[in-house]
Amino acid sequence: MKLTDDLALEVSGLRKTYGSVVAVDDVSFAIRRGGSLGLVGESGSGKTTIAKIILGLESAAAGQVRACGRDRTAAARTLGERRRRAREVQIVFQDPHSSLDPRQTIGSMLEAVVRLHHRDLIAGERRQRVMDLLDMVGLHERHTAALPREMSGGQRQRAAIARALAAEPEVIVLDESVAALDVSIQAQVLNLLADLRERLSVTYLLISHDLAVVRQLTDTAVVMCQGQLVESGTTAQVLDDPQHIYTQRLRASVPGPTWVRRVSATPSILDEGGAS
Amino acid sequence: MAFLAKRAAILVATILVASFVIFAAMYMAPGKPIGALTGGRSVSPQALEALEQRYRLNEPFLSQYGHWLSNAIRGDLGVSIATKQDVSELIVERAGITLSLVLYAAVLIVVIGIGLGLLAGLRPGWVDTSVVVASSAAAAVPAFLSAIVLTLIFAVTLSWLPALGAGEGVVDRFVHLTLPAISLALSSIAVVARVTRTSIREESRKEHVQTAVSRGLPRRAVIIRHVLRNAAIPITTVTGITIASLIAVSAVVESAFSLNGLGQYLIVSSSSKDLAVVQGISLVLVLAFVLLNVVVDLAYAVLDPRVRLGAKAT
Amino acid sequence: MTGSQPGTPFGVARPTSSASGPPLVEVDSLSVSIQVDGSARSILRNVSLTIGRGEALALVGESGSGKSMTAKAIDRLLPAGARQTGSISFDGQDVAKMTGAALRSYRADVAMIFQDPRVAINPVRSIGDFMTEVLRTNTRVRSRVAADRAVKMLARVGIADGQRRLEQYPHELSGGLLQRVMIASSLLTEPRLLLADEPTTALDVSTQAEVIEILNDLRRELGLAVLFITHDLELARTFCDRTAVMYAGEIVEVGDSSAVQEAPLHPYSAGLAAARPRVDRRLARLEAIPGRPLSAVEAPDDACSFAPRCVHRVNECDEGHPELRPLGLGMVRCIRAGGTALTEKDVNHEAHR
Ligand SMILES: Nc1ncnc2c1ncn2[C@@H]1O[C@H](COP(=O)(O)OP(=O)(O)OP(=O)(O)O)[C@@H](O)[C@H]1O
Ligand code: SF4
Ligand SMILES: [Mg+2]
Repeated sequence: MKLTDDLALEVSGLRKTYGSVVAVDDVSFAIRRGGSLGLVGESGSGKTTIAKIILGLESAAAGQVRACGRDRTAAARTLGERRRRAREVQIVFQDPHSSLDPRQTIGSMLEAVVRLHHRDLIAGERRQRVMDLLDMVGLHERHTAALPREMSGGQRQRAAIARALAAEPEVIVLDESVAALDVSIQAQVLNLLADLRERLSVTYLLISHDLAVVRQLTDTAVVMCQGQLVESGTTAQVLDDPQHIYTQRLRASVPGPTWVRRVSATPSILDEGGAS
Repeated sequence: MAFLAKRAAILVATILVASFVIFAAMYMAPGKPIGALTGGRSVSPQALEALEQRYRLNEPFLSQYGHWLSNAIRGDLGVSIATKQDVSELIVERAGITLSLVLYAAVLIVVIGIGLGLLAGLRPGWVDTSVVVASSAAAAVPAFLSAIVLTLIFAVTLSWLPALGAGEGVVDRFVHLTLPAISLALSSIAVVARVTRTSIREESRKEHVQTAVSRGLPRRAVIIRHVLRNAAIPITTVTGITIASLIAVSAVVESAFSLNGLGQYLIVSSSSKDLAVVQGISLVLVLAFVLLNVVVDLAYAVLDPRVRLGAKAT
Repeated sequence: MTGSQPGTPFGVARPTSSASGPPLVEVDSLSVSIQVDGSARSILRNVSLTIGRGEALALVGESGSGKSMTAKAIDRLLPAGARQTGSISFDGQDVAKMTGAALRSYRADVAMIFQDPRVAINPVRSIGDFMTEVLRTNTRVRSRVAADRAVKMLARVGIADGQRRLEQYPHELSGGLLQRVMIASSLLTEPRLLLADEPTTALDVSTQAEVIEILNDLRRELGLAVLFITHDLELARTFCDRTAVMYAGEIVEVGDSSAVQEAPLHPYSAGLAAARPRVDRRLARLEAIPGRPLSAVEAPDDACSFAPRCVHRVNECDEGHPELRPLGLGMVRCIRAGGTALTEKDVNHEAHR
């Protein structure tokens, strides 16, 4: 049994209902400090609901959420508490288009977050911190003056990551953060996320339906199906030797060399034109 | 069914609230109705008391409201203080004119407004531009102004149409109501034309319309079954609500053209503090407005299965 | 059905004299530009491709590379004000010259399915209405007969209770079911070509697998030719005979699907294959292509479009726009391809330097 201190994020017995629908049903998992956990499942399986509960955007019907050893299940009452929680967990959404304020430049957005969390910094230091953040996510100094619409999808997602980092959080929730990106840009952002984890020892909770992305970015993984946790283990175990039938089906659904045979093996009239 | 039950419940609640607001507003309005009853003459305290008794002016507010409402449900809206006539009868006498006026205007709005909107929406180019320009101008003209201008042009200068009165018989009534109906409908025609045009444009850009084209359907079928069918939802809603709002504006137009309708009578009665009449007419107008809105809601449900069936994927 | 043959594996590179006769679709030097604020914006540049009868061709590329526009051009669905040069022919007929009934019957011959069935199907009309509309309108099939056919076709895409489904509305069906409805209805007119524009991107992974399986079975049974648009090379390989890779509005490589993925000729194809994380093992580092994809407008006409991101770039790459040229069994638009083998390993190796 690990010490509780060692855990960056701990979720236990989480439950959430919307009317008669049970969106999340008795879900528990934990991520150690500096670790990275993949939360896998299809649409409607309850992944985003869990993220929202962790962020405090939704309240749970039952269960507990602890970050850095501190309970955050109940709503934050004071501004100080809210700020402290923001330094514990940050989130990066799927669609940087809608999660960034279209009228705010990237620079002023970052500076506002830095000011909120480091009130002792003078203007010059703040600006330096913004530059460091941009540099960290591979953006250029000139992007301080850019509005979100003047940036490409990949650049916007980098800006959203920089904003999450600005609070220097212990945990970053990545909710399908690379799903909307093009293959070549997705690879850049995945590399960036891996680097950042190494450099800053930040903890990731990666929510994704893309098993390859989960493989690339996480150490452990849990699989959700219809609100319930059906499998958990190291990412390698879960993906290479899935135990639950649902995980097995997910794994088999990924297009790949094995899939070709499966698809072509279906009986057909014109068999000679098979996909080679 | 659940949908209809829900709508019915909302309808009843709306009417109750509206009737309460009408009654309360009258109750709190400045000026004592007793003044209107006595016509400013000095009356004996006994006579005054008798009047107060008769019109229940001394009872507490809620009990007055209760009496009024239960009578109103039975069709008894009380007696006019000024003419001592039955308010329900007075309303029935005048409702015909208002009804014909609003109906006439509604037909104009539907035919001309939607017609122009369709033309503009489906024919980009000069047709579209003219409709847009004309409707932006017309939308800005208030009913009383269009009444004056139309009277000057068609009644005074050209003498084509009568300017005052409601006329006798069907044809004469129709002729007499033409100018009032146009002034009542003008800005609404513009609004409806523009909404129609925009809805059609928006709907034409939808991906499902492209699907229809890609399947080789003739242009006519695509426009009627997909563009117009879907645009009908916002068009019906806006047209319905616009027509319902004419009920309020009709008072202005009736006064301007000396039409003996409900709206004009409402104005006259409120200046003479004829409480029962004001309350009665207000109630009837609000009822008409609410019912029209219910019709719009139902039309919406008929046109849009997502509303009718609720959004649930299986 | 018996007349259709599986496509020639390398139709572009080879003379079209094989047993299957001329290809079903021939797109030749297609360029498309769109008027934006008064100036012409290039969207497709010199796109040439063929699709044989019964052949599945994948069109792979990143967002904005012109995949959807190519499909739209084939179905004559370019937005108003688009200007087009080059030619498209279907079964020997010039598509640009078709009008009226001929164009409609051509469009019925070419079925199209879209990425998101939620927006591609009219939300206020019933499933039955949607499915049978074309039969009833264009071929005057009686409603009852059309409905029967729709139910049978639904059964073929794995929807057993078709009769009930016909009475439902789109919002009552899940995305996966709706996409199957889309597929079934597109096949009702017995098309010869299916244009599938990312038909599974909006679906869950396991639903995607089911839909692909259904498409695959049906295309074989019906001898359908398919243009399959995707940004997933792996998916392209599982489903298609040949793959064409697009970049900045032009085709940069065409070849056998496995070859494009395993032994790509163009540095961009190689980069795409290497950039994708793998589900079977974790890579120390993904070989990301530096920079971002260019759109056709930004791309130069007098140099290689991919040059700013290319790890193999040499001076000659900036001296002229490379032509799409045959190489081995495929075609490639790169002056250096073939000189040195650009396998995944080589690209990785060069990228590390
Ligand atoms: N209606 C339009 N007007 C002007 N430009 C357009 C229009 N539609 C698309 N474009 C432009 O045409 C280019 C090609 O777009 P296309 O939709 O074919 O890309 P795609 O390869 O299908 O991308 P995705 O993977 O995102 O679907 C893009 O640069 C796009 O911005
Ligand atoms: S022509 Fe040159 S720059 Fe272009 S892809 Fe080939 S090697 Fe790279
Ligand atoms: Mg597209």
